[in-house]
Amino acid sequence: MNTIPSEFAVGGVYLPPLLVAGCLGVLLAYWTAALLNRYRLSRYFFYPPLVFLALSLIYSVLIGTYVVRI
Amino acid sequence: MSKSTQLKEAFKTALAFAAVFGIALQAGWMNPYWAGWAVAVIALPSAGASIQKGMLRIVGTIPGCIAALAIHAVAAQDRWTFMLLTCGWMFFTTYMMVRKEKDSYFWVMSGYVCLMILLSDLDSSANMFESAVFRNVETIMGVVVYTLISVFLWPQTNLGAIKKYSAELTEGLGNIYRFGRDTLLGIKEQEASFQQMQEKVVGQLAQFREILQSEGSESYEVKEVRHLWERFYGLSQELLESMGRWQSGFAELSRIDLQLVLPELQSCFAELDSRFAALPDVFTGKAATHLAQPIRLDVDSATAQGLASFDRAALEVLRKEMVQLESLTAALLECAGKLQGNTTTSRNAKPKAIPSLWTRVMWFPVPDWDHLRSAAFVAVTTGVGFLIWILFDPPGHSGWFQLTGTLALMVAAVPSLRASRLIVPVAVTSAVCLAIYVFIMPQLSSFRGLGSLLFIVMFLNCFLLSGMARFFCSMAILNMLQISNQQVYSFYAMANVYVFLVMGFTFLFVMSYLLGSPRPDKMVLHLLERFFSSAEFLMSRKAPESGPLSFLGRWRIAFHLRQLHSLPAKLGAWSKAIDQKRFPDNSPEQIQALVMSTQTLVYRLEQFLDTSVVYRTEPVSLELRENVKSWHVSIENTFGSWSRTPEAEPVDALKQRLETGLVRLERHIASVVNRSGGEMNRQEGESFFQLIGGYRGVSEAALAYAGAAQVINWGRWREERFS
Repeated sequence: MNTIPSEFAVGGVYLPPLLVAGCLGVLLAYWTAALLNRYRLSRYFFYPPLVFLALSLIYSVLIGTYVVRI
Repeated sequence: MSKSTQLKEAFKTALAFAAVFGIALQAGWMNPYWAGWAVAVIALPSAGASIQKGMLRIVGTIPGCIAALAIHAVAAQDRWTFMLLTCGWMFFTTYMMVRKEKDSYFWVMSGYVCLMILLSDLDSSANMFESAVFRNVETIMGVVVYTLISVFLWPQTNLGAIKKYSAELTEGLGNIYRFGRDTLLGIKEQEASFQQMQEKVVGQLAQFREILQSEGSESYEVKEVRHLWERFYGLSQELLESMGRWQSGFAELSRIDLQLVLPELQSCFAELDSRFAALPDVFTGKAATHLAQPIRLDVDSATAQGLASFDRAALEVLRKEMVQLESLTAALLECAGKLQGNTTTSRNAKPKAIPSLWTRVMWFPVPDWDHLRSAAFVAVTTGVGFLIWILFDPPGHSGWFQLTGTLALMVAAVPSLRASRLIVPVAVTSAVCLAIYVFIMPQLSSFRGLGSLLFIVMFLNCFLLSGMARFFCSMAILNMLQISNQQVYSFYAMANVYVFLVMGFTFLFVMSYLLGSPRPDKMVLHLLERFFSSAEFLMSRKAPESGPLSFLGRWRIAFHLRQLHSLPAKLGAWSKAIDQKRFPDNSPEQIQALVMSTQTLVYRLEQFLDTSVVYRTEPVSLELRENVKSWHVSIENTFGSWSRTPEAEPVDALKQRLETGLVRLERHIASVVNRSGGEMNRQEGESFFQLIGGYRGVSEAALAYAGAAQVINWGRWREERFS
């Protein structure tokens, strides 16, 4: 498997992989938060904004490690 | 606004927008978009409002430029002093912006322009003065061009609107009065509630304020007597509050035959009726004026003797409020007469109520906690933006310092505006403008093409969008199109600007947590805690045992009085932002009832705080001191527990306690009065009954709050969730 980071080319515009991983991480965290809100599971967290930040980081690192290679 | 007017207004704004770019580019001025900003921001539906905003923009630009030059002169080589001074200036301007609603735009400009000028040329400070001058010149040019176009092309004037709004305002006040009169006399059931009418008048007062600002800018006649219009506004506000206090005590009068105990009540109402009927007529020109006749409202002492103590107390409270009502309506009528050029003076020029110590301390200069917090938010956001720029230098570079500070000012001005909701509109409008920049602008080779493009985008913006959406679209047009005389195109630079704008708003959302949770339900909880803390403090300062007040003590009273006075309006604003879908257990009406109960509590507390404590010397009240003291402690403790948990005291237990206490005190008063031979010094009697009337009023209002709080699902409000 290729482990060398490479840019994403969109119509000749090169996007850094960290930006792509970060955006996807935030989107996934947003979706997870919406689900947790819907099923009232977010009440078990002490401070949800920090949980959101942590989720964004975790997703970004996971995507960066296994999907887009940062 | 009709479609045709909307079309004309959009045309005027677009024309002015294209024209100012043409002038600035032709003259070779620095940053032509400064003039474009002036047009985009001052384009308002009426010429008067635009002139007013334009004047504030010009005048506010000057202190902003001076502050920037001074900061640069002092701290050009020291980044930390530079940051502290800039944050200090932003703190000051934001505080003034939220404190003085009338001049808020002046202070917005003073803060925003300072940030713009400070970093207008990063490579050298040599051009800074030039930047400041061009900023002023282009702002003035933008304002002048838009004003000329709005005055000569399909002018939309406000002339005469102030009289129309005044007539409507007095009509609204009259409706509240008539509602109160009919309720008091038990005439009929009303269709609209007092709250609905009060809300309507509050809206009319806000409209009147806006009209006064805008018409004052375009009419010399209005400007000349502006002090009288200001007085009219102040008296209307006082009258609204006075009527609120008056009506809050009606429930306690149900057992009294008022017409028997107040023989002059009918004639008093007749005079007030004619005053309220005359007020709108004075403004519409149907009547020249109405000379206010003096009103007497004495209690028939023989009938009053037969009343129970608490009924006498309620009667005293009512009489006091009606005297105040009479005084205010006379002053309002006279003011209206003067505004119509009628110099006839009635016997009573000003409200004659002598302010008590508690009213006088309201004039102490005290900060508002929310204003301080807003100012701190803007200062800290500017500071953190500066640190992000100098330590990480992400895309956007100095914009992190400049733009985030400016946007923070906007969030501070409207705290209930959720920063998270701004991210998507900014991303979409900026993406559209980026596409224009990439695909259309490089095809243009003359100003004819550029001018047409600017005209079309601004026209579509003004015609299709309104409010915040229009503002963001204007921001995207001005930031993404980057028009200059030496036009170069760089996709890289603009893509970075795009990324920065989206990141900037996300950063703002994160920073908005400094203002507390952005959740409206949490804010309501927090405001209620503050409300009852202040109420508890004020009750403790009015306790029978309290000694003389120091200067600091008076200042603290003034601080808490201001809190108490301002919090119901803030509660109202935040409660409307609560998302019903998330809280299906509570209807908007239930939440509204909770807010109204806090307003009633304020009215009753004001009445109570205005009474004087008499039982230090007088024999009858001295004997009842212990009863009053325990009542006082009980109220204070209730407020204390509500300041920690808003639903702490269940309504049934409170009601039981109040009823038992009232019966016991009633018996005790009767026995004490009997022992003193049924006689009570008149002055002592009035003061004492006003005092216990005040206690009862506060207790009844507290009971109403407990009832409204009982139906709220507080557990759900306290639950954590992602916002």
